[in-house]
Amino acid sequence: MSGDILKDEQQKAEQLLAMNMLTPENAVFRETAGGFVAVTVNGEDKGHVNVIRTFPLSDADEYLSVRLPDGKQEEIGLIEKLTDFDETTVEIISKQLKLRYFMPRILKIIEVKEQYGYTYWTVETDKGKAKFASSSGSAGAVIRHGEGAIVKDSNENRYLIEDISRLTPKELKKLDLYL
Amino acid sequence: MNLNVPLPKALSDRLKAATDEAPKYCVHPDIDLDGFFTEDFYIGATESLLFTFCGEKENLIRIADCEEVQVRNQVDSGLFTVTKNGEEYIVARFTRKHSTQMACLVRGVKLFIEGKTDRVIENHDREKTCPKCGRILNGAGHCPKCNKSSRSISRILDICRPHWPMLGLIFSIMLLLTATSLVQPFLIRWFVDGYLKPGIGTVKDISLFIILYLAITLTAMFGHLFRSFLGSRLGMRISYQLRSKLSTHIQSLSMSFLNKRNTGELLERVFSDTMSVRNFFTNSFCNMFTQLVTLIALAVLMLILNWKLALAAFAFAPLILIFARTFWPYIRKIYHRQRRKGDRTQNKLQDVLSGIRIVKSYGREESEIKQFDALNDEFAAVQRKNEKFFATVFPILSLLLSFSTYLIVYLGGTDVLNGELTAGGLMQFVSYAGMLLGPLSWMSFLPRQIVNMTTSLDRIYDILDEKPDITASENAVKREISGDISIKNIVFGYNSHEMVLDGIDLEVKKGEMIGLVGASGTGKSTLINLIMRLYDVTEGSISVDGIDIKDYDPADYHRQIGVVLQETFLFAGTVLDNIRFANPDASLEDVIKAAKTANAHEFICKLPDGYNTYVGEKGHMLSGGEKQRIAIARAILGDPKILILDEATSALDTESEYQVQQALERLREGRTTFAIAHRLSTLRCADRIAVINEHKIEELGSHNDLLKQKGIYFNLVMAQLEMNGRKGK
Repeated sequence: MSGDILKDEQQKAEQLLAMNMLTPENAVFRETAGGFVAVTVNGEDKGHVNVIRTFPLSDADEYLSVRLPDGKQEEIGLIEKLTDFDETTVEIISKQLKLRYFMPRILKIIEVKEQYGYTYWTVETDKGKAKFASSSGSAGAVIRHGEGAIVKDSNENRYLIEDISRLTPKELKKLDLYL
Repeated sequence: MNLNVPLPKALSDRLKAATDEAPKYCVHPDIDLDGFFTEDFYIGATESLLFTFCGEKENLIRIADCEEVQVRNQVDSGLFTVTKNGEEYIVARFTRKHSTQMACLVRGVKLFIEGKTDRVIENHDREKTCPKCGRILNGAGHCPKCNKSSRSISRILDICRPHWPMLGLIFSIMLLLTATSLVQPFLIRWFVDGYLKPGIGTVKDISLFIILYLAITLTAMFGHLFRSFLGSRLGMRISYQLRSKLSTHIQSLSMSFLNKRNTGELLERVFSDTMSVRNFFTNSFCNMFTQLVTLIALAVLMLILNWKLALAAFAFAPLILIFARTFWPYIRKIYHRQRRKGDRTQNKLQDVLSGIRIVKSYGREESEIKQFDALNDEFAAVQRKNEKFFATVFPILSLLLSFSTYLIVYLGGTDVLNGELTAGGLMQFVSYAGMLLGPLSWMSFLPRQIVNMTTSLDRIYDILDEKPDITASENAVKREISGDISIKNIVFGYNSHEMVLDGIDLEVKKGEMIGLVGASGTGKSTLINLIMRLYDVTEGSISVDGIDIKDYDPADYHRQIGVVLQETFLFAGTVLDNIRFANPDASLEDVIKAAKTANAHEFICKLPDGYNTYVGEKGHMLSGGEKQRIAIARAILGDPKILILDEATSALDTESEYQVQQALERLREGRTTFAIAHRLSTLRCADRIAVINEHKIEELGSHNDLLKQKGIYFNLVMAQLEMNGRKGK
C-alpha cells in the first residue's frame, strides 16, 4: 500500500521534470464564452487554463507556461514562442495575458512631489492618466530595471518606465532623486 | 473600510429602475474591463442583484442566476468573475488598491447566493487615503494635511512643557549673547572716535579698552559654552523621553501592527527620528528667537546710525537669500546622489564578500571585479564633480558677497571724508553689515529644519497615536483558567482579502492534547496564534472555560499560556534570567526544580558559571536541544494552563530529541496542549489529531481512528514510514 503512494510521488516528480512543449501541431487554443482561454492537447480537452509568462520583464512572449487554473495549478506545457502560433491563437492568448499582467507603462511624468513622508506622482500612462503615492522611505519605491525602472506605489501596484534615456531632461530632473 | 460607496445620483436612479432594493455593497474600482484607469466604474450588489456600471454601459445579473462568484488574483491586479450556466465570466477588474473591498464583496455575494440575506460582511481595516484630499493617512488614520491644524505646534509645546525652566534659562543666555555681539562694535567706535587720537588718548585708555573688550569676549565665550551645554542637555532629555515613550508603546502594540512594520523601520523611528528631533532642540529651537532678535536689532541700529548706508547693506540681502534658496537644495541633492552611489558601491562589495565562496567556486571573480569597478568609477566621477563644484562656486560667491563691504566702505568712506560720519562710526557699521549675513542665511534654512523636525515628529507620533487592537475590555476578567477550550466557527486572515482559516470548529477538554497536522501554510500556526490571542478572530469565537478570550485581561491570559517553539529565542542575559522570564519572582529552588523537570539541570551545572552563565546573542553557545530544554524550564516555571508546542523537537538530533521529548511529557501533564509537528511520530501520544487542509479541519480523531479512515493523515504517515525505510536502506 505505502509503496503505491511513493510510486505516485515519484511519477509526479518525473512529470514535473518533463518539458512538455505546446506547438501548433499538438495544441489547439480557443476562447471560452466568458473570455478565458481553453486548450485541447493531443485531442484531450483540458478546459479553462491560465497562461503565465515565465520571463514577464525580459522576454514577455517566450516560454509561456500553460497551467490549470485551480488547485495545484499543474503545468500542462510550455509555449516556446507565441508567434509560432496562428494569428487567432496569438490574439486569444494575448488577450488573456493582458488580463493577467497589469503594469501601466509611464509615458510622461507630469509631477513628482514630496509631501509628509510620501512621494505623490501624476503620470500619463498607456492606460490613461494616473495619480498615486509611493513611500519616500529607504524601501526604494523606484527600482532600476535594465534600461528602465519600476515604480511601486503604496498599494503595491507597479508602473513601468521602459527607458530612462527617453525621458525629457525636465522629467529626468523630477525623477533624479529617486534613481 | 467602506464597503458601500454611495452611487452617483444618475446611477442610483438607473439601479432603482431595475430593483427596489438598496445596494448592500458597492465598490468603486479604478480600472475598467480593458484595464484603463477610470473614475466611472462601480460594482455592487443588492440582495437579489449584482450590478456594474461603467459610463453608459451596465451589467445587471440576478443573484439567483449566479452559480459562483470569485476573485481571481492576477499579477498586480485581480478579476471578479461570475459563473452562470457553467460558464465563468469576467465582470470587473481591479488593481491592488481595491483587493480587500473586492474580496469582501465576493464573500457578501456568496452569502446572498446561499440565501443568507440578513448577514452583511463588514471590514474594520482603516481607510488608507484621505477621502477629502487623497493623501496617504498616517498610522493613526489622520490625514497629515487636512488634520494638521496646529497639531505640530501643540506637540512641540507638549514636549517642551516639562522643560520650561531650562528653556527660559537658555533664552536669557541667548539674549545676553546677542547683546554682547551688538555692544562690541559700539565699543570700537567709542574708542576710535573718542580716544584713538594723538594728544587725547593715553596708554591707560588703550589698556582700559583692551580689558573691556576682553571682558565682553570672555562673557560671550562662557555664555556660548553654557548655552551649548544646556542646549545639548535639553535635546538629550527630550530625545530620551521620546525614545522611552516609543519603545514602551511599540511593545504594547498588537502583533498585527508589528507584522506590518519591519524591525528596521521601527528601530529607525526610535533612534533616527528622535535624533533629528533632538538636533532641532539642541541647535535650532533656541537659536530661532535670538537670530530673529539679532536681525531686528541690527536693522534698527543700522538705520539709526546711517540710513543711506543701511539701505546699501540691505540691497545685498536678496543676494544672500537667493544664494541660500538655490544653492543649498542643489548642494543637498548632489550630496544625496554621492551618498547613494557610495551606498551602491558598498552594497555591491558586501554582496560579493558575503557570497565569496560561491563567487570563487564558480570562478566569477573577474566579472564581479569588473562590475564593482564600474560602480566605483561612477562613484568617483560623482565625487570629483562635487568637489569641483565646491572648489569653484564658493570662492566666487564669497567674492560676490564681499562686494557689499566694498560698497559700504566706498559710500561710508566718502561720508567720513565729508565729515558726515566718524571713522569709528564707519568701522561700527562695517561690523554690523558683516553680522547681517549670519542671521539672514540662518533664517533661510529655518523652514527646511522645521520641516525635517516635524516630519520626524509626525513619524514618531504616527506610532504613538497607533492604538493596540488587542486591549483589555472594560470588565476584563482576571481568573485562574482551568483549560476547557471551545473554538466556534472561526474565520481569520492576516489580510482581510485572504482567508487563512475559514470555519474552524473544535472542542477541547481540560488536559487534552491536540496534535495539529497539515502542509506548510495551511494555517496551523495561525490557529495557535489565535488561541494565544496574538490576533483577534475576524468571525466566530474562541472561549476558554466558557468565557470568550476577548473578555479576559490580555496580560493575565498570556501569563497562563506556555510556549515552546521550534527555534527558542534566548534573550541576552544569564540562564537564570531566561528561565525566570515567565515568572520573575520564582525562588532559586523553584528554578532548579523546573530545570530538573526539563532535563536541563545536568547540563546547566556543567556550564562554567552554572545558572549564572551568560547566554544570548554574544553569550555562551548552547546547542539546539539545550536551548529547547531551557525553554521548557521557562514554561514549567510559568505553570501554564494551556501549552503550545510549535515544532518543539523538529530541529534536534535523536539523542537530544529523546531528552526534550521526555521533558515535554512531564510538562504536558494536566495541561491542555496544542502541538504542531511535521514528524508524525511525535504526535502518537496526542489524544486527538486535527488535520488542517485548505483552511479547514479536514480530519479529526485519535491516531488509530485516523489511520482507519485512510485519508490525508494515513497517507502522510505511510509516506513518512516509507521515507524512513528508504533512509534505513
